[in-house]
Amino acid sequence: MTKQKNFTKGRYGESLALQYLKSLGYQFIQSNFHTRYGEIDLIMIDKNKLIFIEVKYKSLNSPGTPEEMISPKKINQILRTAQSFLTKNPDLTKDYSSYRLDAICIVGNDIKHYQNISS
Amino acid sequence: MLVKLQSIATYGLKPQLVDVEVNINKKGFPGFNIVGLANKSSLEAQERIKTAIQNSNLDFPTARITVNLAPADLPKEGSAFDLPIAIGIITATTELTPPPSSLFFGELSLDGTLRHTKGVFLLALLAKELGLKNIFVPRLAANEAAVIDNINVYPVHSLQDLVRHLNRSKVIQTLSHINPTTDISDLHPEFDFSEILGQLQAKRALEIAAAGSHNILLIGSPGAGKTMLSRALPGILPDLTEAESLEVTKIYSIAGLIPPGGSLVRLRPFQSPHHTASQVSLIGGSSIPHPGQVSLAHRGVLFLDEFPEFTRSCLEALRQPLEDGLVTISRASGSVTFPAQFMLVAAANPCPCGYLMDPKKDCHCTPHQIAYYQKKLSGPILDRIDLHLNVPSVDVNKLMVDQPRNDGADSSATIKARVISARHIQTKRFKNFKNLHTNSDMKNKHIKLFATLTPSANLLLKQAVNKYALSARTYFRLIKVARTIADLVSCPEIADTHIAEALQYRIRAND
Repeated sequence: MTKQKNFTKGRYGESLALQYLKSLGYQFIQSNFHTRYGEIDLIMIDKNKLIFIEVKYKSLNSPGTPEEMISPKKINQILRTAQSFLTKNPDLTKDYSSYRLDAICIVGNDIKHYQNISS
Repeated sequence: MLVKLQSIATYGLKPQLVDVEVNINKKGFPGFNIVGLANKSSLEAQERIKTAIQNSNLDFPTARITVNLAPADLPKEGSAFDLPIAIGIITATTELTPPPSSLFFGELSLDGTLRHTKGVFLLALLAKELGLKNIFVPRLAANEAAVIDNINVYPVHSLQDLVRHLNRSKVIQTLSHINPTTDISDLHPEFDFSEILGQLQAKRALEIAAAGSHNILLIGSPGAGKTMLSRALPGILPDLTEAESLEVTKIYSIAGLIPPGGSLVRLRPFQSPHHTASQVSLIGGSSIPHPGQVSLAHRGVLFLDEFPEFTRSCLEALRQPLEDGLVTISRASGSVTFPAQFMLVAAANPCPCGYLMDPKKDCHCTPHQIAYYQKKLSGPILDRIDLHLNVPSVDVNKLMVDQPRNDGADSSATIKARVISARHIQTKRFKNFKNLHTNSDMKNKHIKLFATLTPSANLLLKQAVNKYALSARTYFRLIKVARTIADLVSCPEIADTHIAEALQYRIRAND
């Protein structure tokens, strides 16, 4: 499997997640925010909270679960990237004082949403 | 869903009850965390447990699993929490309920079977003390627990078997009580005393040492038979009594030295560390204290061959255990006391070349070299050794294969019978005293009680003390040895002949 194919698969998963979250009433801010430490797949707003979202997509016939792919190390990486997003967007931090880290795990078309995975 | 099970952690020789709390949160992001001051081997349990459950054809839940080992301030090491955690996870996700008043203990293998785990004997002791009915332990280690009565010991082969037991589809039979006095392993020592030619004085001294559990130092030329004599010693030592056996088993269970399937330690320990041994391996230690060689030799023999070659710090560290019969190891995490009532058997050459006292060969050492060599053994250490013995080399002509083999030497069995009868006298004498088993265990107050000297013996002893300027400790140790010599001939009072024999093992060349 080529890198390019992985990339398009990941983007496909992210588009599924975006659709799903929009249907829940989340408001889109930015996608694929990246720094030298890492990347945040989706940044959205739910009510009065900023939500950073990690999306993991797996096709039906690939081994393992997407949950296994999100390690404590990965979570720390996302949290650091989130900090850097917050400092770069002071106007957002003014309006939204708290934030949360969510995960969207997709296997085929089955979407699972985990809230607040960092605690 | 929260499940609470119980297991144990050990610190030193003290087992402590540990609550294993397993919480499964199905809504949370999947993960597996163990908290409660567990060290690396307990934290690695996660992978073992997960794989073992999956390989036992059981479901490992996709959920947030949090395990707490309480009390949280007690440091926990080892892999024995695998079983309680795994059972906690299984019972939390199925309709199974763990049986009440039970302890779970054991390390899991990846295929779901239970491995031999150290410390099962202490678990059984604690279960009995706290009145807990059932213990679930690895089958390979279950015999250790079966010597304790009034508890149900379930020998568990694998996780799957235990799940079948809990859902009552196939019940595990409890292990029947093993009577501690019946199981005697018949391991024979390397040499029999009748195989050793000559050396009658050395054999006599070893017999006395064995009868009273006295420390002994053998000095002689290379090849004289010091090592052979010492290695034959286990053959004349009496078997462990039940009380002693329980003490020794406790230490061996903690050290993980009981072989799979093994039960009580019945044979007297014989430890012979090499002279490069470190102080920690000899005395015990590490950040969570483990027993050292002196504790593993408890109620048995610590044989130090090439005695002066041990490092000075090792030898000096032997002082406290030699005097008090226990070692207290203090570390930042706490201090632990291990019993160490052993009989020290040391072997040494008289000088670097080894032929200082040899009648035939010349010694090539300079006086300075000899002084330096002998200085390695400090006065306080030598003072704690009751019997000092020169082992002369044997005339090789007597050893030739065409010579008749029989010089009328007693076999190990004969000597052992004499030793046992002497020990019986001692057991009877000390029956009202705890921790007092042999003459060498006597403290000064006991000597006043139990060692009555005849007037002539008293006079002889007084003369010897003045002539050789013996120390107070030597004086008391002399009486202890004389007490043993008297016991070997079942004599209630210590006569002058007994004192005289004790003296000849005590007076060294340079005294």
